[in-house]
Amino acid sequence: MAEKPKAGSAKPQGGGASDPWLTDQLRQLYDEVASEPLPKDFVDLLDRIDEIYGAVAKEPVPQDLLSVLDRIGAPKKGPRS
Amino acid sequence: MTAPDPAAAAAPSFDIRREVVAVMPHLRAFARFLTGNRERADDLVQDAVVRCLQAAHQFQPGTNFKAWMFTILRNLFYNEGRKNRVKLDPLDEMNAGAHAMPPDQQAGLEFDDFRRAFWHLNEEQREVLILVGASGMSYDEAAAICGVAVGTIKSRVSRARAQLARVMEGGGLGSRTSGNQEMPAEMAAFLAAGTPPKGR
Repeated sequence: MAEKPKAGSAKPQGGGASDPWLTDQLRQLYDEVASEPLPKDFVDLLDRIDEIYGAVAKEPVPQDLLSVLDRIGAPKKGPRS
Repeated sequence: MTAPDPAAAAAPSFDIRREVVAVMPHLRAFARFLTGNRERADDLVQDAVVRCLQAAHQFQPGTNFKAWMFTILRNLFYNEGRKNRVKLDPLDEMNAGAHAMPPDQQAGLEFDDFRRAFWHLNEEQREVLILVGASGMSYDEAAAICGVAVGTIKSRVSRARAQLARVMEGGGLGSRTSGNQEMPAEMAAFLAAGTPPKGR
């Protein structure tokens, strides 16, 4: 019975996709996106996190964060109540 | 970037901002390959970060924050994303970065072919290959993220690999590695392993 040969006997650490060539191509694809600089929106979001966690429970959740919460239909409460 | 705030001393020992910064490139990549759309992916990442902040108290420090964030993002994509999901037109993603290197470089041609083939996979196939093949997740972690058994993940990986090989061998990609050029041995081995023998 003809079975599919197994490509690559070594299973990469952490699972992997078994085939070294495939893993290499997938990582190239992934790294292309992961290495892109963060858009300004993201930097702003990180700054908001700074504000929230730098002033714990002293201020309401910022308006721009509320608008995101609205968009995703999430309850409007701070991350740490 | 703002300077550290003294009030941050009141925050828990788990530095969520640092963790979010570290995981954000990975979230963007995962979201991009799920959605096939740059803007939708970035919206999804922002939503996932907001959700993470809301649920931060539920995270157990010392466990895998990246896997936790991937789970949040994936749930958002499948639970909320379907209703306003745009029809995937992966042409932009397919071609993004293509020809970034001189076309006479075999590796670049090979990668362009791979990229085009990858975008012919369905969501589930792209997801599982990215999780276990690129993001560094183990089968166990990928299973937890997807809410399925480890065996299911292994089956999905196997099917995705086979489909990828079928697409690449199918010749419908307008491959630039075809023609008179000899296929690289590693690529040939992958195709041979991923497709069933002919004549069955």
